[in-house]
Amino acid sequence: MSTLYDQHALETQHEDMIHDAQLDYYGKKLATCSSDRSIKIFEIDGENRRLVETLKGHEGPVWQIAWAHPKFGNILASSSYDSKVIIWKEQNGNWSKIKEHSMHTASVNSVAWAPHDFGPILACASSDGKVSVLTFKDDGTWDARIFEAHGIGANSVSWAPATVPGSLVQVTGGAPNLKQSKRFASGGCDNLVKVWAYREESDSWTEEDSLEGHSDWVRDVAWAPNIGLPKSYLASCSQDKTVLIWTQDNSKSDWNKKSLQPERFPDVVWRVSWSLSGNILAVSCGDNKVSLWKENLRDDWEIVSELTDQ
Amino acid sequence: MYRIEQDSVGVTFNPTPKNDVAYYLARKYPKEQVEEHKQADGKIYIDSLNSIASWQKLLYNDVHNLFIQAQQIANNELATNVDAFQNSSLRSTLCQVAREYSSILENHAKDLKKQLEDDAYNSDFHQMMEFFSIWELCRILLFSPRRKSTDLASDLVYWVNKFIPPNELTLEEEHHLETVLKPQNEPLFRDHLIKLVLRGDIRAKELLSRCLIGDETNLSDRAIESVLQAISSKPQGKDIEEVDYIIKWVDWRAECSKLQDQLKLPDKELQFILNAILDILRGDDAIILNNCTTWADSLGCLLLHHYPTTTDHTELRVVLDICFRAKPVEDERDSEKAVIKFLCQEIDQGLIQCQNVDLWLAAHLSDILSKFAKIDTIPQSKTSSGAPFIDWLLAFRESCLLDYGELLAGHSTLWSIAFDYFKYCPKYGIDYIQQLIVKIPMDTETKIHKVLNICKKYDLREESKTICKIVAHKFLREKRYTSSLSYFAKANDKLQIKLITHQFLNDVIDTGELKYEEIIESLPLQEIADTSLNFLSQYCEFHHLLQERNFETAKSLLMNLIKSQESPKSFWPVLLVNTLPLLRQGSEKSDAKSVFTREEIFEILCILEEITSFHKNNQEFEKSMRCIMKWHTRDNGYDEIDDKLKIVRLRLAHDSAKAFTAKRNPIYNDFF
Repeated sequence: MSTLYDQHALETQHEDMIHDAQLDYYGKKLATCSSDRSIKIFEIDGENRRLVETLKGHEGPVWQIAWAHPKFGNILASSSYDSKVIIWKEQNGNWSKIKEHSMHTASVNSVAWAPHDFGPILACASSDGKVSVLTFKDDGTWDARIFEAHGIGANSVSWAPATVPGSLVQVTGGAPNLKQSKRFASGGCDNLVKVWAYREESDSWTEEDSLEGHSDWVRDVAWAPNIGLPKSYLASCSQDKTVLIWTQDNSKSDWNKKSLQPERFPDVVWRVSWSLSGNILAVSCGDNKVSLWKENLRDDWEIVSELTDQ
Repeated sequence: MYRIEQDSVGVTFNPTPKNDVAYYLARKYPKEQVEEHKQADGKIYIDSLNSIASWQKLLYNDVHNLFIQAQQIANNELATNVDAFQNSSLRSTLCQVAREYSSILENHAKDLKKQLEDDAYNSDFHQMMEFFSIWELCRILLFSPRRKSTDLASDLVYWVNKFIPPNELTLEEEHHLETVLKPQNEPLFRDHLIKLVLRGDIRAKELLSRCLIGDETNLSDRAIESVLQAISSKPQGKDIEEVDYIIKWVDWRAECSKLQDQLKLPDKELQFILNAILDILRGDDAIILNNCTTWADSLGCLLLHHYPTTTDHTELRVVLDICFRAKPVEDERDSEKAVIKFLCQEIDQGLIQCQNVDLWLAAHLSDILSKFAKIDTIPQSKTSSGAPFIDWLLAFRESCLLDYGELLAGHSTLWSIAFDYFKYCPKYGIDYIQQLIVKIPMDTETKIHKVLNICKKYDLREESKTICKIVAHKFLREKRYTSSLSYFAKANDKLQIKLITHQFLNDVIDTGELKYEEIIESLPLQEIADTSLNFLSQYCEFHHLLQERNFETAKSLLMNLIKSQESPKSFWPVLLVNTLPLLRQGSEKSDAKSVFTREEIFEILCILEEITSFHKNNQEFEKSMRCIMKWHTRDNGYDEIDDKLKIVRLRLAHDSAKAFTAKRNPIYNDFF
C-alpha cells in the first residue's frame, strides 16, 4: 500500500462546507459547490490556480455539479437543496444561467450529463423520489421528462457509456458503435440501484433492472467508462458501509454483484468515482479515508493506495 | 436527507489520462440545520496519480524508438514462415534489442550518477539502478544467447558485482590503510580484503600485496606470493571447453587445499587472513556465507567460489535455497521481490512485482518477453496459478502497455508517443486511441493539427469531428471567428455556423456596419458549402455592388437574398431598407424605368406585410427597427425611416407605377 503524492491544496474561499468538486474535460478548470449556495470556478494551470467566477443563483446548499462535454461549449449544471437544477454557460467571457429546471419538489441531490454522443442530456435525482431527464434540442428549447424512481428519495445518477463494452475493438473509423441504448443508473433511499433505459418505440424511460444488494440507503452510483473493459461495471456505495461492484456481460444479461472487500468499511461510504479508463475506483468513506482500488488479473479487487485526511 | 451529521471526505477522479484525484472534506447537511456551526474546511486537494519525473521523461522518450523497432522486427519475422533457422535469427535480433535497452538504461544511470552530489537526485539514481538491475537480470536469465551453460553462473556473478557491490572504503579509511606498517593487524584491512576476495575483485591482489615486506626469503612473503599465485591461476571458463574447465577447476581447488594444509606462519594475523582467503578460494560454504551480508551477496560469492559450474535453473534454485536459508530476505522492496521471483523462475510473479516498481519496466519487459515466448524460448509454460503462461503473458503485456500508454497520454510532451503503444495492443488498443485522443488538451495550433493527424491515421472520423467542435468552441470564446467557423465547418456543425452568422447579422442590425466582412472573405466558402455563410457572403457582395453602382446586379443579388429566407426574421427589415438605394436610383432615372419588376415589388411588399402585420407577433421586427433607426439616418447618408418603414412602401408604390407603365410600353418589354 502506498500513499498519494503531489498533494496540492487549493483554498476555495467557500464560506461553508464543500459538497462537490469537479474538474472539467481537460482538467484545466475546477468547479466547486458548497452549502454557502455558491459555485466557484477556478482555472488550473500546473501550480497556478485562479478563481475566475463565482456563480450565485441557488437558494440553498448546492450539492452537485457536472461539466458538459466541451463540444457543446463551457456548460455547467448544478443541483441544489432549493429543488432546482441550474444550467450555466460561459458566453463572451461571462457565465450566465441558460436554464432553470424546477420540476422537482424537493432537494435535487445529483446531476449527470449523458455521454456526448447522445447530445446534451442531463439526468437529475431528487429527494422527491423522482428522476428527471432534460434534453437540449436544436431549436434551443429543452425537453423534460420526470418519473418516479426511488420511494423515499433518489440520491445519485450515473450514465452508462455510449458504446457497448469492447465494441470499439471491432470498429475502426466511422461513427462509434451506438448500439448501446441510452442507459443510466440511479441509487436511492429504498436501498436499491436501478438501471433505466430509453425506449425509442415508446419515447419513454423504463426501469430495466432493479439491483438488490445494499441494506441501507445507496449514497452514490458510478458507471465505469468501458474503455478496454469487456463488460459493464457499475459501482455503488451505501450507508450500510459497503461498496458493491455490479458487472453485466451485455445489456441483456443479468447483473452480477461482488463486494469490493469481504468486510464492511469502518463507516458510511459516500462517494465512488472511476478513473478515465475505468481501471481504478476511488472510494471515500466516512472515516475520512479515500482508497483507490484496482481489479487484478484474477478478478479480485485490491487496494492500490490509501489516503487519510489529516 | 441530512440524517448523517458528520464530516466525510468526498472524492472525484479527474476525467483525464493524468488520473488526478480531487478530494475534499464534505458534510451532507446545510448550515441552516447546524446549531453550532463548525469552521468549514474550504480546501480542495488534488493529487496526481500519473506523474512523470523529469528523469523518467527522458528515459521514456529515449526507449520509445526501440519499442517500435522491437514490434517491427517481431511482426516482420513472425509474419513469414517460422522455421528453426528463422527462430534463431529472430532470437538473436531480439537479444540485441534487449541489450540496447540495457545500454540506454546504463547511459541514463550514468547521467544521473553525475548529479549525485545533489541529494535531490539520489533517489532518482537509485530508482534508475533498480530498473537497470531488473532489466539486466532478465536479460541474463531470459534474453541472453548463452554460448556455454556455465555462462549462467559467471553472468550472475557479473550481475551481483554490478548491482550489489560491496561497500567501498572511505577516503579516510583508504588513507589510514596506506599509512599503517602492518595492515594485516587492522580489522578494517582484513574485512575489506575478504570482501574483495569473496567477490573475485582484482583489487584483492593489490591489497594483499601490501602485507609483503619485500624479502623473498621471508616465510610470510613466500606464503603471500603463493596465495597471490593461487588467486591469479584460478581457471576461467571463458575460453575453454566446459569439461576442461571443470577438470581444471577441481585441480585448482585441490591445489588451494594443499597450500592451506602447508600454511604455518609465525604471524598469526597473516595466518588468519591467508587461511580465510584459501577457505574462500576452495569454496567453503560456511566460511563464504559467514562473510556475506545478504542473500544476494551470498549468491554471487557461492556461484563464484563453489558453484561456478551451475548450468541450469534447477541447480541455481539449489544455490538460492542455501542463500535464503543462510541470509533470510528482510524488508523486501518491490524491486527485490521482483528480482527474487525472476531468479526463482516465477516469471509471472516477477512481472507483477515490476508493476509496483514502474509501469515502464513492466510494460517493456512483458513486451519483449512475449516476443521470446512466441518462439518458445521462455522456460515457463504455466503461471503460478496453473494457467497457460503465454496466454497470461499476452494479456499482462497488453494491460501494462495500455496503462503505460495512458500514463504517457496525460503528459504534456510525451502524449503523442502514447498512441504508438496503443497501436501495438491488439485487443483494446484502438479502443484506447479512440477514447484518449479526444482528451488531449490542445493549447496550440500545432497540437491541434497533430491530434487531428492521429485521428486521420487511425481513420477516427467521429473523434475528429468532436475535436473540431471543441476547438471551434474554444476559438469562439476567444472571438477568433475565422478559426471557429472553419473548425465548425470541419465538424459539419451547421447549427453552430448558423448561430455565428446570425450573430454577425445581429451586428449589422445594431450598427449597419459589416464588421465581419474580412472573416467571411477569408473562409473557403466553396469548400464549406454552408447556406448561412453563403448568405452572409452574398450580403457582403451586395454592398460591394452598391458601392460600385452596379445596381442591376445588386438588385438581383438582394432579391436572391430576400427569396432565400436564410436570414432570421429580425434581419428582414435590414434587407428591406437595403432596397431603398435601389428604389431611389429608379426614381432618379429620367427614362422612368423601374429597377424592380412587378413580381419583385410584390414579393418585397409581401415580406413587408408579414413583418409589420398587427395580427402576428412583430416584437422581433420592432426590436430590429429600433436598432436600425439609430443608424439609418439622414446624417449617415441614408433615407430617413420610421418604425413602419413607410418610405419603403411609398417608394415601392412609386416603382410599381413605373413598372406598370413600362409593361404597357413595348419599348421596355426587353427589360422585363
